[in-house]
Formats: sequence, C-alpha cells, structure tokens
Amino acid sequence: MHNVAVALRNLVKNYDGTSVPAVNGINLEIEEGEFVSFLGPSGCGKTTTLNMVAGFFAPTSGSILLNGQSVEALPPHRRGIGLVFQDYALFPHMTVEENVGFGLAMRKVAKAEMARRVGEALELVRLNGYGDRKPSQLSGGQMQRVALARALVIRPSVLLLDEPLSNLDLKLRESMRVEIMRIHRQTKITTLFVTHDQGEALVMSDRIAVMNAGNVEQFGTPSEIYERPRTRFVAEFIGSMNLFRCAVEGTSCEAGYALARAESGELLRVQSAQERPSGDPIYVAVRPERTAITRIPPQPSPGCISIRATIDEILYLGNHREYQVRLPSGEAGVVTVSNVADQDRSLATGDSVFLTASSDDCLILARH
Amino acid sequence: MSGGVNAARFRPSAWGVLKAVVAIIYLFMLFPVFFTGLASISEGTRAAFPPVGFTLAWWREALEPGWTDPILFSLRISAEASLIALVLGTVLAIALTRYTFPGRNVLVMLTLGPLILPTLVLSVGLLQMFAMLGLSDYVGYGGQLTGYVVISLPFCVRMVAIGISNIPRNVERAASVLGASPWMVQRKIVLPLLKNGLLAGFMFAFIQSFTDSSVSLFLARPGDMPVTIRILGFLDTGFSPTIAAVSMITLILPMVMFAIIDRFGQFGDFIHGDKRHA
Repeated sequence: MHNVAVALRNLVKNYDGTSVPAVNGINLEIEEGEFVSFLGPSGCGKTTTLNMVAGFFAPTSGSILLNGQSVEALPPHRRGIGLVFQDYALFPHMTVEENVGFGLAMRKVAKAEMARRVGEALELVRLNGYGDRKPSQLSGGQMQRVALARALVIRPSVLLLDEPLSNLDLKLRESMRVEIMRIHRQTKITTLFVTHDQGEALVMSDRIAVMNAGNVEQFGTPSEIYERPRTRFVAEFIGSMNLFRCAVEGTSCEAGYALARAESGELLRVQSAQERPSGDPIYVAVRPERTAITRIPPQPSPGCISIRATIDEILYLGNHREYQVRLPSGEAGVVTVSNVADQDRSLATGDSVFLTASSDDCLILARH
Repeated sequence: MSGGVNAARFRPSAWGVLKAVVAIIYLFMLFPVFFTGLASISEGTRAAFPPVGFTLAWWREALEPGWTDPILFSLRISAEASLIALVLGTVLAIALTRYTFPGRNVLVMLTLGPLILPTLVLSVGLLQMFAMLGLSDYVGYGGQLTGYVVISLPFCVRMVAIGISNIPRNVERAASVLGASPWMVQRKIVLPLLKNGLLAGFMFAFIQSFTDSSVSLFLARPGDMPVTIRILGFLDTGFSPTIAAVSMITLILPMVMFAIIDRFGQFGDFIHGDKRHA
C-alpha cells in the first residue's frame, strides 16, 4: 500500500459574485511519487484546484491533505510545495543561481550547503554554467529549466506544474516533456501537472484526472482514460470518438453485452459494463482507428458490429488516411486507416460503405 | 534601378522627417535655457543678442548667501517633502493596486485630485486651514512642507503604482511558495523590483516641490523662503542677469542630483519605458 501524498476531499471553490462553482466537489487521492495530470479545457477548474493546493486561494469548503496533514490553514510559504508557472515567474533582478537558491535562503540553509544544492539542481536540469546569467539572458526553454530547478531544490513534498509547456514552441515542448519525465523518474517527487493538452497528459502521466465544469469526470491511467472513457466528454476530449445514437433493445443478452438499436436501424451487439433498461438512450462509441471500412457487407457475426454509411471526404495524412463518413441517420463518423501496402485504396467520395468494429472495442456511453 | 531605390533618394524617409521634428522640439525646449546661460555670463545688464563681453560677476553674486540660502532651503525642503510623499505614496499605491475595497475608486480619484486642482487654490486653502486650526505659527516651513507633500503625492502614487503593476503577480507567488513570508516577499522581491518606480516617484516629487511657486507664494515667511519666491521678489525690484545665473544653478543642481541617483537605478527606463541594457 502506497502512502497518499495529496488528498482532496469534497473540494469546492466558489468565486465571489459567481453562481457556478469553479470547483464543484472534487475527491482525489494521489499516491506518493505519482505523476498526475489535471486535464481539461480552460475554465474546467484545474488551475483553481492547483491554486488551492498551493495555498493562493482558500477553498469554499472541503479539505486538502498533504501527507495526511490538513493544510487549509497554512499560508503558501509554510506548505513546502514546489510550483512552476506557465510564465516561469523568475525573479528578474536575480541571477539564475540566486533564483534557484531563493528557497534555500528562505530556509536559512548554510552558504556551502546552498552552493552545493544549487549546483546539483542546475545539473539536474542541465544548466550548469548558467548560474551567473540573468533571466533576461535566457531562452524560454532555459527559463523553464531554471523555474524547475528553483522548485525542486527545496525538495518539495509535492511539485505543482501549471501548464509549464504552453509558452514553448512545439519542438521545445516535446523535448521538455521528456525532460520533465526524466526529472520525475530521477527525483520521484509527487507531481501534479495541469494541462489542456491531451497528448502531454497521455505521454507523461501515471494517472490523469479529466476535468470538466468543476468536476473530475474520470480519474485513471492514460490507457483507461483512452480505452475506457466513462463519459461522452472524456471520450471526445481525449482523441476523437465515433458516437452513434442508439437505444437499448431488450435486456435479453448474455452477461457483459447489450443489444442496441441504431437510429439508422442496425442492431448492434456491444459489450456493456452495466445493465441498462430497454429503450435507454445511449451512444455506442468506438475509436476511429478501431473502426474498419469496407465496400462489401461483412459476414454477420455476433462479435462484430456493422453500420451502413456514405463517404463524405477522404483525407490523405501521410501515415494514415481519414475517411469522413455520414450515416443514413445524418450522424457523422470518422475512420482512420494506416497506410500499409495491402489495403483497399479504391474507395472514393460518395461510395456506400460499411463501418465495422469488434463488439469488444465498442463502449456504451450515457446519452441525455 | 528599382523604384524603391529612386524613392529613397528623392523623398526624405520617414526616419529623416522624425529626426528633423525631434531636433526642432529639442531646440524649442532648450533655446530658453541656452539664452539664460548666455545672459548669465554677458557683461550687459539687459539680455542682449549677440552677447556683449564675458563676465563671471553675475555668478559671483548668485553664489552669495542672499541667494545660496534660499537655494539650499529649496533643496532641503523639496527633498524632505519628496521623501514623505514617497513613503505615503508607496503605502497608498500598494493599497490601491493590490487590494479591492469599497470606495477604492473614489480614493483613486482623490489621489489624483491635487493634480487637477490648481496649486494656487490649494495653497489658499492650506493657509486658511492653518489659520482656522490655530496653527498659524506653522505657516512657513511646516506649511510649505505640507503643501509640497500634497502636490507631489499624486506623482509618487502614480509612479509607484505603475511600478507595482509591472511586477507580475506570479513572481510574488513564486517567492511565497518558496518559503518567503509576506514581509520577505515585499523586502526581497517587491522593493528591489520597485526601485526604479520609487526613484522616478521621488524625482517627480522633487521637481514638483523644487519648482513650485504657488504654494510658497502664500505660505513662505521671511526666514523660510524658497528660491522661487526669492526670484519673484527680486523681479519686483527690477531685472539683473544675477537671475540668469541663479536660474542656471537651480537647473544644474537637480540635474546633477538625478545623474547621481540614476547611477543606482534606471528611472530613465522607467519614464521612457525602454530598456537600456536590452
């Protein structure tokens, strides 16, 4: 059993003068050494949550526990947290060394010890030799490394990263991702990473908390989030998802499966985690890369679903093709096919086709 | 030959026009100073152009206690008033920029009030206030000091407020997360970053006080007379190039002072908004 490093209990934040809570009752437990991403669109409450953990905002209700200790009453400077901001927030009047040493100076660490630890921290972020520079003499990536070193040097119990990569260009962002993962592996510091970039979250995290409108929609490993999304929001926010409007057809199906009638008439047999009443409006969801596209009708098989569609558009994207299709019901769908040698490249816009997928690759999501 | 090169040859570039305009503006601003300088070393008792002869007699007169006393008085009281205004202004600026409270906007307007109010009106008011409060004895030094603080306070508040709003909130937050108490955040982060704003505020306050005549017109007393009032009094009895020499001194002294202050910080950057070391 791992220790819980950060626990959020019924955390709520209402900003003055707003009727909708920015954070609406979050419950999470983050284990020691874990790398957890808070992923969601802007305004979902992820940054507000981070600011409450850091101590800048007081929660309206609920509690925050760091290593089992409730910290709501502690001001930010007593929480022993590391924080890296999107805009770096380096101290412009101090050198790199002074920036990194600031937290140690506040802790009254002795000069020699301080020099050693600052050196180690700069080495960790691969900035040895930059100690005498001023922040204004550094590139964006270097400033971000200084900010990381400054946060890590105090050996924080938790490291908070607030969209630390958003201000960097694409190439740099990708290399900093790997860098942050390496640093996390080396330091094993519990890390909370706020991002709106699903790619970052999938690559970097041990677990992801997908947030929407002040709530955590799902908390799980990247593969759980991607392969077993529990809500339509999660399914569509991470990657793309084909969603077919259906209604549950009868309850007589073997355990773990359900029959769903699509709006365009097909009867689909898909796996189902829970039993649903007949007529329940649902989506049958399947990822574009788990969907196949064929011209000839597939052999009817209980392990497969099949839906008729027409090709709207074919996009050639180098390593794969994307077929944008339309169902007789008017619903849109997407199929992506890897560009490998033995595929049917004769499909054209306007062709009637069948979309097929394994029943086990399909999910049922609630439709309201 | 391309059209662009032709155009560049026959039409003055925008940059050239700008340079000419800037030169004219500077001439316009500096010509009076130039003539004052000339008058202070010419032999004639009337300002004449071209100047006649060369003499340091006017400067000698200007450096006698009759003039140096009011100059020193002005320097001293202006410095004191500016320091007081700076301290009050900083406190006000922090309150006005970092906190929201009922009546904040009214207070912002009030701080700007003295900027809008003619100083003449203000000093009449101050004189009456001192009289009504039975503090007439303090008219003179105390009255002028109060008046100067009031007229220079808006400049201090403005400059410091600009300085504070230039400090990103996250920089302060970063410091506090790293273990700095609110007091340490102010001392180690806010104050050093505010230095140029403070210097600029002090400079504006000083100039405002040093060049004032309206406040002192009503509140000065024989023993407590700033150089501006001494000049006005002197002009009542006629004109002498001594005035020119005195004016040059009152121009040069603050300039030297600010040149020294500027070595400790870049308030020039602050005022012009450029980065000298970029």
